[in-house]
Amino acid sequence: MTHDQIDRMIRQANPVPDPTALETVDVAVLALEKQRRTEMQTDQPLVVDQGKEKPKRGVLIGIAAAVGVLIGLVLVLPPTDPLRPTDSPPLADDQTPSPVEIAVGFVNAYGLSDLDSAAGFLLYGSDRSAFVGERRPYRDFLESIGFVLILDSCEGGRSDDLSERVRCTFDYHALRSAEMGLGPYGGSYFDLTIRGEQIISISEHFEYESNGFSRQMWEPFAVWVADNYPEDAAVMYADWPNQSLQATTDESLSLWEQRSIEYAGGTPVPEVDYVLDLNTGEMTPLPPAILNSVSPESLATRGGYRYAASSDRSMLAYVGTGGDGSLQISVAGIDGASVRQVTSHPTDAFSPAWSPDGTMIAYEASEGLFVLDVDIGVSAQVTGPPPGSSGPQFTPDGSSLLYTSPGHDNARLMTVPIDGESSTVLVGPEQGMGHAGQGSLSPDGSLVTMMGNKIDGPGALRFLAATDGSEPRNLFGLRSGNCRSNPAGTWTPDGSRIVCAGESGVLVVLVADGAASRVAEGRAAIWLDDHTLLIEAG
Amino acid sequence: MMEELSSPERRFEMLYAEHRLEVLAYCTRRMRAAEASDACSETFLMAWRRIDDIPPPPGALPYLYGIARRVVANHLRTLRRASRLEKKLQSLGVAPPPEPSALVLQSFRNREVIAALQRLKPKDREIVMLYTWEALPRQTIAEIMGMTRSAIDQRIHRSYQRLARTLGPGQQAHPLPSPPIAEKGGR
Repeated sequence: MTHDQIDRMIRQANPVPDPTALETVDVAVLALEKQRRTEMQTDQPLVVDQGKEKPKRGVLIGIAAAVGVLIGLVLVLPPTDPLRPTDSPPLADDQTPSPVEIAVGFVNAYGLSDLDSAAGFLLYGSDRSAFVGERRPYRDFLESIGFVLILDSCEGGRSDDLSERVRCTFDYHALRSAEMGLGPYGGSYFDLTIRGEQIISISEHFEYESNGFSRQMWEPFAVWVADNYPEDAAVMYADWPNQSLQATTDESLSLWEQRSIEYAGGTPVPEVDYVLDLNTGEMTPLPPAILNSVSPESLATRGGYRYAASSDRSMLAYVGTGGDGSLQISVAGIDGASVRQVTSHPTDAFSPAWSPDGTMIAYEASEGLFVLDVDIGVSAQVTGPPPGSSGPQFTPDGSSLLYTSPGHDNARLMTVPIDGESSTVLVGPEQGMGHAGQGSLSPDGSLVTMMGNKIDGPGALRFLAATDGSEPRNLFGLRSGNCRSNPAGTWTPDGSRIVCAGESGVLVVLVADGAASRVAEGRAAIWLDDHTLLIEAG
Repeated sequence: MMEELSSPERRFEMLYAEHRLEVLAYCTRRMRAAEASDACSETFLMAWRRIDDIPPPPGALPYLYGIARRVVANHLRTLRRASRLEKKLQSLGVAPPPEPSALVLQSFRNREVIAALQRLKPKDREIVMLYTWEALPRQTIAEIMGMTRSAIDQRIHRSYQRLARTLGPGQQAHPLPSPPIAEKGGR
């Protein structure tokens, strides 16, 4: 091996080939920290006595000034973060988010590519030298290879008086591994140091070898690109003819996207409503018989919902179009068999929800909520006046409906027996909620999730509460913009996860700790079983 | 006004703005990232204390590297002590602190190279790294290391020979595995 070859090899192994890649690092806070520590250690004075004040300030001002300029150039931190209730009245003591909740909120926002919100959790000037995900070229690269972060858990670790360390472990899909039935790849984590309610230091361990990502995805893909598109490969890899480091030029990123999609077999995401199996990544458009009879109206403007699945998952109820152009409920086998319109309501009928035994469908109309006996074809009104009740869901025992009542001032969650007795408040001001809507009960009826706000609190945010009247808990980082749900299909049958959708696509949220993963594009989704979603495209 | 510009504070600001990333890169190449930023800020604290000794450009950066080298060496010593303590704590059932991370996707080959570098003597390794990673001229390296130019030449030559022996045949020992899924993508 020649001198030149050795030379090239060493240069290629340079962990930081380009110092400007480190640009977001901020040393000011560390300098302050160090200053503090040094001051505490009297046996190691920073400088001799008489010069003490001046040089110290000099360092800090000097560093702060220089960093100020750099941050101005490379970091755009929003003054306030829409996810965080910074300019609202402080929450009650017991509502102060715990370090773990802050960590989950941050990783959620990061995983959803909501970098502005993610940055809102970080102390201005926090140490993030080991947080490569924030650097724009790297982040863009992750997006181009379809990186999906699946938060596993966040756990508190060592802490001192001032701060707590939290480790959040995650799995990921990348290079379209999900589409190929490979992965997800575990063993990666964030280490966060949290003080007050902010993250003061963050580092990221990205595992790619022991978990098989390198062997199963990175290397086979490298071989495939080199064999089939050597000219592209020269653009895509910064260390070509080695293939260990991606180039992040625009041209390179667009090639990474194209080639990784092609490599994975190029299954495009359906443009119509479809069924997504989260275990296999398989995407199956709904049968044409259903697609052809679904109303094209999105229903979002009315606060309504399109689909509901029967509890045995054999039947779909959905919003179709009646002969007069009005919205009416139709049902069909999930395979598209025997499509039929089941309501002929004088006005629009939408937001269907099946009873647990599959004999009834509740729905929403402008006059109130109705329950239809599917076999007989007769509807009975169960709520109203006042009109405006929305989002029905049968209680697990099938005796009542949970729904959102517009109320006098603010919406609240109520239940009403389907035989037409009077309604009872489930969640309202007495539970501390100023507004509560989109309520959905867990399959065992012990929990309810909703969108809303605390009295005088920020909102609308996603909450989870026990139905025994305990105080609702905010699922940190989830709000009406990114986590709207269809009450009739919010929960998995096993009660472990909820699904919601919004500006970041479709999210699956673990009930235990509020960890959210983005699973697909789409504007709404319901569960069909514990691992299968029906997704509204668009 | 002119006095303002050449004040120590001002010179330090310039030095910092100019070379912060290079010093940080120097440290990041030699230690884990979280510790590297610590070492970088310490380097600048020390530079501030000696601001009057620091030569004007182009001599400033090699001077900073010289400080950083000692800071890093100190840190690594402390870390080794800490890791011994950690092992002891672990044996007592106390959880170790989380570990910081690697920066980029490094291939097997690069890691082999880095492992080979680590087998060099500390001084030789530093010289090779300054030469290749910091891409400094040999004369400058001689100044940083306090050695003669010809001694640097010799050390680089000897280190490369050693690296060629460690890396030469082993380099082929880790070919890319045959792609389990190439068939699917390869159509």
